[in-house]
Amino acid sequence: MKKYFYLFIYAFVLFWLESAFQQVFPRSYFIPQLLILFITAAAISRDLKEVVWLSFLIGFLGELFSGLYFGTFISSTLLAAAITYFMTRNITSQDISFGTAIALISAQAILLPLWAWIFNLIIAGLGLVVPPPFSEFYSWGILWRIVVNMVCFLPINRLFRIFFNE
Amino acid sequence: MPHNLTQISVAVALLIVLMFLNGLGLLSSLIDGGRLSIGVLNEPAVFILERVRDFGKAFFSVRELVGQNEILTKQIEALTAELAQTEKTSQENKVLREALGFLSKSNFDLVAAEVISYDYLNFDQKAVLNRGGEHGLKTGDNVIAAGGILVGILTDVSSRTSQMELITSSNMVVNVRTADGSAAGIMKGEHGLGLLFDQVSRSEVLKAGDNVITSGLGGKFAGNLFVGKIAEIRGGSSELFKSASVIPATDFRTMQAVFVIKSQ
Repeated sequence: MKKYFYLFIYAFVLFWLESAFQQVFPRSYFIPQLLILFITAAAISRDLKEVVWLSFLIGFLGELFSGLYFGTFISSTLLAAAITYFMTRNITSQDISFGTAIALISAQAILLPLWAWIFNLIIAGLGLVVPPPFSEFYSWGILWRIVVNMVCFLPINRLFRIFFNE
Repeated sequence: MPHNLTQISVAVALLIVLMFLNGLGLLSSLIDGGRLSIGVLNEPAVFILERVRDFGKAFFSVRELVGQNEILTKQIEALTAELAQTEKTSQENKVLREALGFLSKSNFDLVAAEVISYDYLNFDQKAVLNRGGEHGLKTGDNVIAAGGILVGILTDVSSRTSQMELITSSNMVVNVRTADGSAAGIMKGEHGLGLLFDQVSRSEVLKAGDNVITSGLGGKFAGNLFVGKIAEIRGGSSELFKSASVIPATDFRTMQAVFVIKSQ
């Protein structure tokens, strides 16, 4: 129980930092996606059931300040967790390699906006929302996002492994 | 793998339920409460990050500020020059308005002209006007300032410019009298320094402050043109006559606009 409490505190601190950065530097590609990185670090070493519940919790926090339809961020965190979980299940080493981490981060940076667009397109098909344009989800700033996410992922993953892995 | 699929299916189902609940508005109070709480908790972090952002902006904009400073300094210099020009134009406007007022009231056939230079060898005796033969001017035409003040006489006329000799020139002699008619004599220029009302009979009355006007005698100058005011009575060059120094009615050195009385 204590472990889950500390996990929640860790996730909340990352959410607090990311939301403060978003408030001061809105729509900047230099802000790391700390929540997505947290769920990625969790999916590398935790059980799928735990990761799914963590995704819901993290996703709900992200939904508080998401401008897209409710469910976009939760489904994005689920997708990020799923991508990480299935990409890293066959790894025999204790920790993720640098190359795998880059591949993971890059895949998430490209696929998650695409998923967000598709999700909102489906919801728009139900007549619940106006479909946002595709260009709103993609720009060359994604390259910066990959770099910044990569820089922040390494310490987040390291801290996660130090405090939460048996 | 089936176990994993079950987990994912449960997660997707739960997501759909949450979306349905949100659509019904049942999650709105929870979301609002979360947003407000997080907003309060974010304040210290936002405060620090705003200071960092402002410092960063100031730091990286120094070069831009230096460039803007240079541009603004140049603009200030240009505007200062423009202001000086505007002040000069304003003064010219005032002079011309006064002259225009005089032009419309006068009975003379006048040609307005501008003093464009003074004779650099005889600064206080001659000046050049920007009107000439093309405008109907002739040698011998009287030149006056606004208010009917005698200034000089044209001595040389070209097609577009003309030369004027001032009444303060030592060559100039004008038949004058006091405005009240109590004294008559001749006005001589004193080397550009002033005017001398001379050859006044001792029996005639001269007082300081009397206005002196042209008498029109001799036909060289039109009559009733204002010349100046008597400043001081002098002893005179002989026992029969007395004289007085006269202050010209206008400062010849600052004249800009004058009028030439076209001869008939």
